[in-house]
Amino acid sequence: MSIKWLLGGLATASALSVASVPALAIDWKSQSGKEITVMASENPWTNGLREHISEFEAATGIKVNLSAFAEDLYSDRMNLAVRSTEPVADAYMVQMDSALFEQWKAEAVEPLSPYIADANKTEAAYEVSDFPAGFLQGASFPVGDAAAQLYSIPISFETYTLFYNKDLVAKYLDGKVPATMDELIDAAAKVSAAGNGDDFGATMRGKLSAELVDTMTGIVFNAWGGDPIVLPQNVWFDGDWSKPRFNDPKITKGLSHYAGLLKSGPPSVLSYGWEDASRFFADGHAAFFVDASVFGPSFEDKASSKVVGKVGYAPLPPVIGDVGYSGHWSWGISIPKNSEKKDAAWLFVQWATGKSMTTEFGKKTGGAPRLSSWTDAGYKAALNPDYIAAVQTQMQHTRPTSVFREGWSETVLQIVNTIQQIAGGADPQESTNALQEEVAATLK
Amino acid sequence: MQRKAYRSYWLLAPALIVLALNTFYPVIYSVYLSFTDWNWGKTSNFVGLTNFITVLTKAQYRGAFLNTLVFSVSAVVIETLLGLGLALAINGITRGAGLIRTLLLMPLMVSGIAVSLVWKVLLDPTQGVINYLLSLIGIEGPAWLGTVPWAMPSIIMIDTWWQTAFSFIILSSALKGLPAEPFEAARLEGTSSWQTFRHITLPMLKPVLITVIIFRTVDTLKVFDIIFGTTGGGPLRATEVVQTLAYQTAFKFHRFGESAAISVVFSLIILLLCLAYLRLDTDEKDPS
Repeated sequence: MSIKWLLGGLATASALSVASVPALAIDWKSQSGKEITVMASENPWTNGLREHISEFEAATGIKVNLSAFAEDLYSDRMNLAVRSTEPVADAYMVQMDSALFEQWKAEAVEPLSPYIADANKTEAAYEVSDFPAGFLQGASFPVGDAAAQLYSIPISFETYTLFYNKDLVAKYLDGKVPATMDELIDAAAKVSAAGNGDDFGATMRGKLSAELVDTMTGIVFNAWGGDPIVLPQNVWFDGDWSKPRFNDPKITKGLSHYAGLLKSGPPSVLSYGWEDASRFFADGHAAFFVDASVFGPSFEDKASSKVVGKVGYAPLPPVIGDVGYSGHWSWGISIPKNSEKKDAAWLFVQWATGKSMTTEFGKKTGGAPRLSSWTDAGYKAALNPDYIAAVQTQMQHTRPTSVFREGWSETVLQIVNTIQQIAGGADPQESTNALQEEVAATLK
Repeated sequence: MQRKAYRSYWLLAPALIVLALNTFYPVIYSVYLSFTDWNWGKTSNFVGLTNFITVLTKAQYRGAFLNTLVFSVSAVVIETLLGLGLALAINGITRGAGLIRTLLLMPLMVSGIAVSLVWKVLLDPTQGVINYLLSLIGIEGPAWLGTVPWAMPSIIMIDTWWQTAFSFIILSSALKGLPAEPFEAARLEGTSSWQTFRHITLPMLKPVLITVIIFRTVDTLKVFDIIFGTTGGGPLRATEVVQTLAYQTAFKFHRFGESAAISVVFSLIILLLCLAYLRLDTDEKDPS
């Protein structure tokens, strides 16, 4: 079965179909004089926001206080703010995955569907259907319910693709880019063997951390192929929380692929977070890097990259058939239940996620979540054409990486620990058999 | 006289009240949380001793306790010996001692996360300066933070660089405060340096040494930032310690009750250790 992200999430689409077509223009000055606080993680989207925030203030008369934190600190601060009994923020960036799900379970986040459905609050041109329904699935709860409400709007998305250093591929592999995942693992090993400790076949996130989850899930999706996957359990369960399948041969293969790339990484790759792995690639020491597409623009930035103009972009090489499957994940923006200025906050959210600003911020992130952005001439001109082609191809074969279960991060760490074991030489099937038992015991 | 004493209590009262609120409220709340299943939601249920049973029986917690113990014992022993050695060496210097003391104290001024980030870069096997310097003398440096055998020793090394100055400065001050007469008498008796150290310096330093050991033990048992910033507890949980696990259990797994139970159990262990040290100190002073 081919997975089309554009067609995903029928339940979500039906829930939003009424909401997406309000008729009248709204009064953008209705909340003039108010002051709102927006919490954000420091990233390219936030940089874009800083440049344009005065435009929103001028158009609405609402003063915006941007409270931005380094990504390492952000999640905890944001969760504390959203769960506080006192208002801390009026709008906030949130990971559209189990983080948002847990906030929804804790009744800490405001449903946005009523705002979208209200013609007095939302412009007709806002057009929610411009977001792929598959993206909105990660923010619509209860999961799979026909009456699900939307709790967050995507602001930037990423899919997990292959980056390669053209110079190193030419030097060690005669310019041949691997056509399958097995070829990629072999090619990475070959580069590391010949690299004399200077050049390596791959760089990956390897640190024992939940931050591996999306890249790792994308690689597992590739090994899983087109077979069905159901939310909220995702690929890890056979449609039911009581049926974990962590030792399924295809999942074992996917985790082995991740471990195989780690094996060809630099010696300390098991302590690498995303910033270490991407820096290593940007410094020109690694032939291959499988990670979030949003790294693409930074590799073409002379201020932070030594591989400008030397990076090749491709979808994940296929494992089964001729299609490389992967996952996608998004940052979203939401309104906390404890905000006392929800209408002003909604005006901000609507402005920041409208067509114009989504495209503008997308030039910074390389991951505009609206379909219309990808046909916008300015957006396409701002990004590397190979990057755009690779992401657009990959986007046709992705699924959400999220698992909607409280405490899912603990299982993620167990999976990462298993990947580290396999990378250290443990037998893949025995390792995933042990993982299966460990997870089953944890989930009881 | 009595009136003066009352006035002292009144003057102390505001500080004592603030201290009590800041200290006792979090402790009492943590103990309360440890008996609940609160997951950062709006409700929580009383679960009795469930969290404590989990903490005391789960293999992962045993591993984290063991790693914490290994780290703490190693770091305290190395840092105390090194701090003592440096203090003795600098005690004999007359010129430039102030400058050396200032330089040795500098690592203490740096925050734990900054220390971890700096050392992560320094220890990077391919781009770090440590392995580069080792290569100049023909030694192939290991993958310090990326392999099981080297990860914990690397963390201990980072902590030693960071915190030895604490032992050094306390012991250095204590050495300067020792009376000169016993040393003068020993010199006239013709005792060796080792005998002087063994029978005069060490016994007189003992109370301060015990204080240093207590402080460093408590501090190392609470290690978090340098592990969080370098290995995250890996590879293969080789550097996972109680505090990183407590943090993850609370803020990543959202099991605040279980995390509070870890903290309660661990605080009791630290309290018992401190009492044991203090008992040792008291016994030394009062053998009867």
